[in-house]
Amino acid sequence: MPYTAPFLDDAGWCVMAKRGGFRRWLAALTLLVLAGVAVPYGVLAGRQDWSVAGFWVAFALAVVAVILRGIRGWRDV
Amino acid sequence: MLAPTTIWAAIAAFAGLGLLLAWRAARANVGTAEDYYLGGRAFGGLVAGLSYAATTYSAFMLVVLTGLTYRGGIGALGFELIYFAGLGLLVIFAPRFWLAAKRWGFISPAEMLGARYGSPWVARLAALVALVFLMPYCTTQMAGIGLLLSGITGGEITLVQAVATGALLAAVWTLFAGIRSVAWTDAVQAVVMLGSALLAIVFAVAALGGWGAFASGVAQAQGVRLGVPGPGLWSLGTFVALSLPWFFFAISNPQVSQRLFIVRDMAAMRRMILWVLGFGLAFTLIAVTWGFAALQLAPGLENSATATPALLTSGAIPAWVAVLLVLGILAAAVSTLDSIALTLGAMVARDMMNRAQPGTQILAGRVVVILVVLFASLFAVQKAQIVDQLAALSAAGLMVTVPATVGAFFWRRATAAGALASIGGGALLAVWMAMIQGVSVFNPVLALSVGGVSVVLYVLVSLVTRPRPGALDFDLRAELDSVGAW
Repeated sequence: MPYTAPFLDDAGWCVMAKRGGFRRWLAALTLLVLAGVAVPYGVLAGRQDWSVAGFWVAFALAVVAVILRGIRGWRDV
Repeated sequence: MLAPTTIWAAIAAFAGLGLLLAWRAARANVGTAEDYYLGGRAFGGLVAGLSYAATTYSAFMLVVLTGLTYRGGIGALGFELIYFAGLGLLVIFAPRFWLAAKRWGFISPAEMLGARYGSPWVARLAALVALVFLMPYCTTQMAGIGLLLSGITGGEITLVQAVATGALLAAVWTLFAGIRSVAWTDAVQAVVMLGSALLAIVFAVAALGGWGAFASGVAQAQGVRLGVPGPGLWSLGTFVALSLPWFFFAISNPQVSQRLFIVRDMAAMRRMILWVLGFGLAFTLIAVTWGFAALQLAPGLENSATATPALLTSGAIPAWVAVLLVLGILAAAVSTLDSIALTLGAMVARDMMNRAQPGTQILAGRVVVILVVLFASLFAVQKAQIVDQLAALSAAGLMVTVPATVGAFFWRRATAAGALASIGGGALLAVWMAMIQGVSVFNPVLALSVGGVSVVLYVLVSLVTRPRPGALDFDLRAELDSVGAW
């Protein structure tokens, strides 16, 4: 299985899981949060209809999806 | 206006139900500090999730967020949803908080930081920062109760009566059985909050002619409020200033991060997060819709914080629904207040009296709960400016614990001196900028400076100092792998 840790142990950083997906997940959450600010204040700036509200509702649903992806693998021993 | 006798009767019935739950909860307690503050780490996902939701979604939602929507429009939705996105931090930190607390027996988040850095002073400073910024936040919950009850009764229920009611409920429900009575009453209060708010919004929208008429009415009459920056409030700077500290709420505010210690297993943790997500999204949408409904049904208010009382007494909402929503907002305030009081009690008991016997720690926690509730009540009535300033500053102020919290799990090289410099320096800067220099919490310079200085101090001071010999290594990799967490 490929090593996907974003932090290096020999430099004193704790390592993340050796199973894949964390980097992509973190990138998705980061991009999503940035889009949550940039899209309404950039692409949709000045609009006076429900498009900004619609975007933010879609943003919230995407946040839920990203979090669900993040907790999908949790299990009890 | 609503009749005071109706309101008092509803509150009495609500209090009776809460007392019954608290009494039942008290019978399950076994007398240890771990049981009093964490319920023996045995909560299921439903109660933990509803308790988390009721704690984090306070009277702020249907008083302040609704008011921000009324005043500035849709930007309020985006601000609250950036906070909501911050729940994503739970994917990384919830398993770590839970595993560390279980392995080393931590009861408060500050205690966890102190043990990680090998310094009781880190725990004490984190607890002190929480006291300084959360006690004024409790005052705003009390003030919210006062504003609401006096507003809907035309002043017949006075501010003092309203505050005393909230104080009594919060104190009794906390003192009875600690987290067990707080969490059980929180769970019921969450249902009351969401159920009453849903009913109220249905009636408000019906009074406007249905969802289609509501949407077109807003677009025609309030179109400017559907965009950002709207009529002026939600400039990009203001949006960033408010959203940045709130994004880290899940790990910076001990009253919610302590909830990560109470679940019995990872399945319960997952269910807890699902409940918080569902509740949070629904409640956010309701609060913002409620603000837009108030714009149409109660236009022209000078003080946007009175939007909810004005809408409730506009005639559009049936009296019984209005009474239910009043209970819902009261529940929101009390559930936040009692959770904060209990967490602050745990911090003082565990982090400032760490050598005391369990019985003494429980007693100390109970004394702190009473003091916090009294402080909040007194200053809600006094309306002290300094308390209002600190309350507004609470999110930015508590953000100073974020670098030390993140580093506790991810940077072994980090030191107690770095954590102390980061938390202490950041908090002092926040207070100096906001209260002496007069920098508004709506100014992004405040949040960016406090966050930036806190990070820089943490890194630089850690690099020039050495970890203490007694510092714990939070090496949780094996446990994280075993529960399937990243």
